[in-house]
Amino acid sequence: MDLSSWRIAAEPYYRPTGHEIALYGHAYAHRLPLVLKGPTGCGKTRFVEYMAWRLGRPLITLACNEDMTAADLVGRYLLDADGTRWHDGPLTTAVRHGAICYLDEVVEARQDTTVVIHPLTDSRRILPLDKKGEIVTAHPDFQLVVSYNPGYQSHSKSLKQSTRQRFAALEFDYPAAAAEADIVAHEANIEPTLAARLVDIAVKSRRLRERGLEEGISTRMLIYAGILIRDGLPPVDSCRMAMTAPITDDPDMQAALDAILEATF
Amino acid sequence: MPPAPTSDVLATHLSRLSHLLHAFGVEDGQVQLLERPPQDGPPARPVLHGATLLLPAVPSNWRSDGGHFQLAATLHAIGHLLHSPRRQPTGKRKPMGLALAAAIEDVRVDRLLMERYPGVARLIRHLVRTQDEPAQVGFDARIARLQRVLLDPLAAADNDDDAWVRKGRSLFEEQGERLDDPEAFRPVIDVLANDLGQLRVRMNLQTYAPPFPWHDDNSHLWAHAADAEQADTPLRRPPPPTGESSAATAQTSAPPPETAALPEIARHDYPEWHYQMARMRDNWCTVIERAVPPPAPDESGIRTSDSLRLQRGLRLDRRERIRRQWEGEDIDLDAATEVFVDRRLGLAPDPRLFRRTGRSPRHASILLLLDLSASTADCLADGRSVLGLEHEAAGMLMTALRTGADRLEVAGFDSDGRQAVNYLRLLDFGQPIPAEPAAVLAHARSGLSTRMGAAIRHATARLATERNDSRVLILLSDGAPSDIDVFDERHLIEDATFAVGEARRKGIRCFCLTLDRQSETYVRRIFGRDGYRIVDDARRLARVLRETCARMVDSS
Repeated sequence: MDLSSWRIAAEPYYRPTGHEIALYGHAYAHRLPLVLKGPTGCGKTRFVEYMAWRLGRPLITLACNEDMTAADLVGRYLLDADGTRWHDGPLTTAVRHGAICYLDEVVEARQDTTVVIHPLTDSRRILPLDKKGEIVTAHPDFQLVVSYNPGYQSHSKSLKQSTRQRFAALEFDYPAAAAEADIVAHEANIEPTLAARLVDIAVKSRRLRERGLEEGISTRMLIYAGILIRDGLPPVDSCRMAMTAPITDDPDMQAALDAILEATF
Repeated sequence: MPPAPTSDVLATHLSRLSHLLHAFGVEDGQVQLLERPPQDGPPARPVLHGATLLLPAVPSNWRSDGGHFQLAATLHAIGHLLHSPRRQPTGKRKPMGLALAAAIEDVRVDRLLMERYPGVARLIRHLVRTQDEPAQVGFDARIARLQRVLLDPLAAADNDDDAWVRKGRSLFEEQGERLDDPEAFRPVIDVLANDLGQLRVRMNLQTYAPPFPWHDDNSHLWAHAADAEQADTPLRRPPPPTGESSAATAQTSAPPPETAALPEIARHDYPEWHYQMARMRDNWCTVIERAVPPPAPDESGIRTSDSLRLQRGLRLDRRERIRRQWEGEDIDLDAATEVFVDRRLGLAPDPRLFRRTGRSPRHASILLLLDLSASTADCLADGRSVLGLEHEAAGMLMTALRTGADRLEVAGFDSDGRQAVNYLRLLDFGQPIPAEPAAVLAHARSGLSTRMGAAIRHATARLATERNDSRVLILLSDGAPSDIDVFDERHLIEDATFAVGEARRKGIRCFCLTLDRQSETYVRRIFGRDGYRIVDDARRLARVLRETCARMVDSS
């Protein structure tokens, strides 16, 4: 099967914040399954893309949600003129042909769905297709990477220990202010001083996580705001649209964030 | 800036201003109302007490938006909290010298913020321009004019004709590059104070207040011997002399009997964790279940409005399989057979041949446990008692759950030693929720102590018999666990931590909502990092409780 459309053609921009590239390299050398933990929009997906490019492996990404079933991962029978025909799911494709399979926000998937990855993540490295009666042995290049957001006060589902203990983990967080400003300046193509101001707002918002804001403003939001400002939109409007309005519905929190914006620009 | 409030709605803006303090890095920062400022004497100014900013009402001669006053005062307080030295020795300085030093310090922190945040600069310049022109003579006037030229050179006549003001300005600006170093301004203050002495300027201690109303009274800058002790005492008021707090929410005319006087239903013995011995002491605590008189039968037929109803998610339920779908996990065999039959007959087959799992709402059993210890009679900043707020929140949750399949138990607890932990069953699982929750809740009154672990264990036992998919225990509390027969502060905290751990191992989700920021350390210890929330704005307790409930139920 041709996986060329899953290959990453150009080098994705990624600014390392520690020695995560080397750590990933070692994990991949031994095909250890990896879990990337970190808040939303801090660069987990970009990191996987970068590593897939660097290692020259195709990358099959799946955003998990609670409607996702095991069949959505491994595949299902479909009907055609001759009867039923098996159709590999994205995970099976990655396992057969040696891609990196990235399950984004894996805790969103139901627990009976996530158990299908168990045989792939121990020494067996196999994927049983129950309905088809086949056991697929993983291609030597296959690696499974999942991500999730431990989330402050989110009370959301977390990974079961039986799943958790199959993975090596890399922890991500928002980069240090200077590094984050670099990233925002590069990605949004804006002045470093403006990027630093945006990062300062984000740092303030992240402190509000302790006061009921579910998540602080992410690097991704800063890049969106930067793009809008570069387009000529007034900074306060851009930040409100890309950063403070989407992040919360709580009027007091919103007002506090708006006050930060007004103070900053 | 945030929408313009007027002075009477100041209270509703306190929470957002508290958020702002926190966002700027002032941990534990809070903004509260400064009530009853002195009637005579200088005009009221904000007060900084620890990390708490007390805001007075918007001054009557304020010409700008009231919201601007609060915002500027909050930003100024942030400046002080982040950049000003606190509680410095006053040394040999006289009151006028201290007032001058404080005035320079005020300008220094404002200028620091203005330099870093252009929006703050715009706001402060705007406010300076809307202030009354200062008088020509006197200490107050000179301070006002000096601050004015330093904060907004364009507002005041650039060439203020007072030599002292001009000198002050040039001395200050010489240090303009060193704004973040308070020491750099000490010589400036000394020279200017000396000059004032030579000019024989007098200061009226009785009427002086910092000229700009958003500048606080600067009492936090100095360590006066007299107030050293009360510097960081918590700001909480004692309960009103009569039992009005609980009576306020009670709709009945005669006060209900004390908890301990309510009829006893059953006694249960529970162990207690002794952290020093690292073992459980069996049958150590006795929980006494007490009942409240049943509420009047509900004939009102009141329906819960949608806005009050608990907003709930749906989840997949394996028991429900939906056939003949466009897509799904499996092929629907009956539909597939028909497809082949249709094909043989030359008919257009129905492509809906999958089946998938259906959705149904999950059902929950929620146990709301109210802390009824004596401290819940305390009043918060807005004058309402903690107990009153607990009643309101519990009432709202009861109303929200009146319809629907979720089961709710509401119970209160207090304790009088390990032999008498009262567990007051206000509403049992399965019991119809009364139309007037207040009548039932009125039986929950403040008194006695907080043996949290035993109460949590009993609540866990109550929840353990529930068969719903998710079982949730929510504790509304205001203070640390304590009891009359325990002298080691840590003991009951460790026991409660243990009890929460046991409950969680049984699949019960535990969460604590507390109104007291000072309780953070031990609430975090007991309930874990993600297991609690501090509700700064007491008026939002009810809403936060409802949201917490919905989220806990959906995520389990």
